[in-house]
Amino acid sequence: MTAISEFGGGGEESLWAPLVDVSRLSVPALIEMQEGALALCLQRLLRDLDDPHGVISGFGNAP
Amino acid sequence: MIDLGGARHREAGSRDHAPSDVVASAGDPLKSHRHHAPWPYRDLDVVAIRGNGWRPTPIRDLIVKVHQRCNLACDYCYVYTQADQSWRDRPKAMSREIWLAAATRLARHVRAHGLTDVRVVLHGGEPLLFGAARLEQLVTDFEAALPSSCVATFCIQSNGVLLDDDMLATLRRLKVSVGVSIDGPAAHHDRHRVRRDGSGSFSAVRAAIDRLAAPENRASFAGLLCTVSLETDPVETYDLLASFRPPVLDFLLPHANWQQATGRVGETGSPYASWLIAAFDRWYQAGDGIRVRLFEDIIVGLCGGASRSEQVGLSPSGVLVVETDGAIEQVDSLKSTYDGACATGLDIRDHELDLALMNPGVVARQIGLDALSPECRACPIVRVCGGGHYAHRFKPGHGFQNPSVYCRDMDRLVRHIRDRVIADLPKEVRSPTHAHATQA
Repeated sequence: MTAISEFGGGGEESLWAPLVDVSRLSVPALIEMQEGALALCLQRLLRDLDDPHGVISGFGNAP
Repeated sequence: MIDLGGARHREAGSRDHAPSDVVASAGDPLKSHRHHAPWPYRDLDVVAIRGNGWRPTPIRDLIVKVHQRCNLACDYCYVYTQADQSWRDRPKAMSREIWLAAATRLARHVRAHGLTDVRVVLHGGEPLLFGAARLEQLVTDFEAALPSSCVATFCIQSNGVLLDDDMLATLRRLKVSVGVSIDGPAAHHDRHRVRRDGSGSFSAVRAAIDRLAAPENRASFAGLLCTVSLETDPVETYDLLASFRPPVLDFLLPHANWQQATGRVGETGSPYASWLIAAFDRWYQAGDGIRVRLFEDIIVGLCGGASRSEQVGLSPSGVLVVETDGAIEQVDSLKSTYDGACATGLDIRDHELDLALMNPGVVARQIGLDALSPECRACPIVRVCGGGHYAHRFKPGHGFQNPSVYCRDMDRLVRHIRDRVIADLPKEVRSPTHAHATQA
């Protein structure tokens, strides 16, 4: 997973640093967000901590 | 070893070839690759990359082309209507000899790499033409070959036309999940996804999806794939697809490249971004629990995570294809670029899957940023966009180290999604860099 430190401070690069600090991503915070699209994506972000580099699937409907 | 009764069987490994034999015998495929795509086939130094410590990602998805023909004649199909025409010379259906070899090689790959899960994707052409009996035998043979330490998931990607109750019952029993391709509203779908007599397929596809969505079949419903068309209304298209309540759906940009643009690709402006943004806004606002893979990959990328699909992101591709004649090939979206673009020169009966992982085309899809053009590497959104779909970067005589032909569309789409997301992210989960951010 991209580390915040990989991006320089200032300039457009910092705008594109990861939006979320995963260490702050807690189940209570997700529950607060209910089940909107963003919440589902953040749940996946948490699940993907087990496989941070991801692997592309050839099955278009793979989770 | 699986008993074939009286059938002739070549034991996997009896014709195993060493890597040097493969290079020496590759011959024509490599020559064609170097001509059409100097990058990566001439200019990517795989030996040097490995010398620097890079190691390939093992295969996680094996796409098994069980049937080479299709009962539809979609006018944009990358298998039949674009640059590669290799389907003509291949057997219509995969023989048991070939799929047993594929199962054996996959099992060896699983053991060699200690994989705990793999996916076997039954594909085509139209895989349901293979028939229920052969599908059952194939799944059974793969399950018998793979070690119990590895969970094998079976999936099928179909046009849906042949997905009747009997076929669905068989797939449900075999625990094969089903993805269906549908291109939006009936009138549009029937203009482009036609039967051989020119008649539309929407009503049959709709019936198939309704079957999948029924409670007793729900566990078999993998999702929907929709190729984006500027002829359709994005909100109407999203609403139609969402009405089927798929667990996942994905919007695919039509395959195009710098030689062969489609629609208004490459024109000034970003019409595909406009379409996708409208669909995204609809999905994001609806909050209906339906996952849209492209949008999800972008949001996850913006938040620091990794993509799971080919369209965005820098994740390595862990996918290989076995064709009906046993050829081990790269992902077949490359058929949209040049004839023979998928070829590795390898055969599943003769070669381990690991040999394919040394192919420059396969390596190129696993090395992330290093595969990208200087323009892409310098772009601030590169870690989210990832240079877009690999096949969309192709330029004849240069190869694949170029921006995507959809670059402008991807840029606008990613920036729009970022603006929406950052406005909604609770401050307590934001990274310190964005603690007070609103929009870019």
